[in-house]
Amino acid sequence: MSDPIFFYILIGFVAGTLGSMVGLGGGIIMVPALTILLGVDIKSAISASLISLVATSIMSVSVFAKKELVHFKLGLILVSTTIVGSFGGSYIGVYLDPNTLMILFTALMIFAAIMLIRNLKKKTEDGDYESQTDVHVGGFFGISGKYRSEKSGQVQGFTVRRVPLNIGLSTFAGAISGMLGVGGGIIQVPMMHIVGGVPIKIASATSSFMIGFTGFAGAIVYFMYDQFDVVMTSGLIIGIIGGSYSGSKIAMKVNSKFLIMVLLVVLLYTSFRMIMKVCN
Amino acid sequence: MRAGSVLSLSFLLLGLAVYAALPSGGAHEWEWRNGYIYLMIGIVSLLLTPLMGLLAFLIFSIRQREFTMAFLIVTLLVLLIGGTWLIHPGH
Repeated sequence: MSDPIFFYILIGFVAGTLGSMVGLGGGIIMVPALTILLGVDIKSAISASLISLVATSIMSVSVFAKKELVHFKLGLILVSTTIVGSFGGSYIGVYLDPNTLMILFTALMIFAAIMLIRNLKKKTEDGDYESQTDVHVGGFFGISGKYRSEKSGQVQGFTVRRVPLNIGLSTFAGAISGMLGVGGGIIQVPMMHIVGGVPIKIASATSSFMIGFTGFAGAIVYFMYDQFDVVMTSGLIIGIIGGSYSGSKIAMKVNSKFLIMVLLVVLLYTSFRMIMKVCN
Repeated sequence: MRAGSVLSLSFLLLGLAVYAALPSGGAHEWEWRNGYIYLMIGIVSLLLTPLMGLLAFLIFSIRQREFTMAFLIVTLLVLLIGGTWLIHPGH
């Protein structure tokens, strides 16, 4: 046995647990962990991350669809352009120099850290993050939906704002996902929530429906261009599925502020190590 | 979707177990290679699961006379298949 299967499963598990606890997804932790700790080629790590996106999407969509949290119409409209971006992004990723990919990934991790700090502030200031997203009026495409507020139990309506802008940004989000192997948690969810005015839970569930296809489009490119390790990918998938499940359970018991602080430290330290690796 | 994911995970677990338990070469070479094939089946079936789900969703939408949804699903399928064909190295 030449492959460290146990380490692949462990990295997938830790990435899945941490990622699902703070809602960022596993890719942002898994890709740097593989490249720094195990010395895996970043392109193989990205392709493994993209395939594991498909696995986590399948698992989460079946749960979210039962709770009627997925907005399929919005998801289908946005994913049509997201996959175009994902095909393009992963195609560029295949030909990009590994060091350039590492620099881009480091930039993404710093962006994720900023988003986490922003979320941390918002949670501290507003107390209840959910209660801000109730009803929005307007919308070019007339996409609307309903959702049940967890606190009040009331059904509330919303209309998606600035759909054309959302579609445009989706293409960009797909390109980033395809090129760097990260899911929607970091780009798509904030985009739908901030630009489109979609309630955060609906945005999160709809994004998990979309990332399955984004991951498929990106993974198929890396797969066809032979940037793919079967054993590593399989180990990571098993680990990340177990990790996502345990992460969602642990998240309810652990202080979210503490979690975000831990992940912030991990992201900043990993960014530093990635930069050092590029420089050496 | 659930059947697809269970099938994929079963193959992945089976493949990893075979791959980890048996050494390459020697008397176990054939079984070890089978482990690799199980892993490939697991990954391919995992990749095909969202497409199967989409097809099931298409049939459901047509039955419910939700033609806008059906149109969006067909568009997505065309983009996925067309994109794969366009980006193929042999193309």
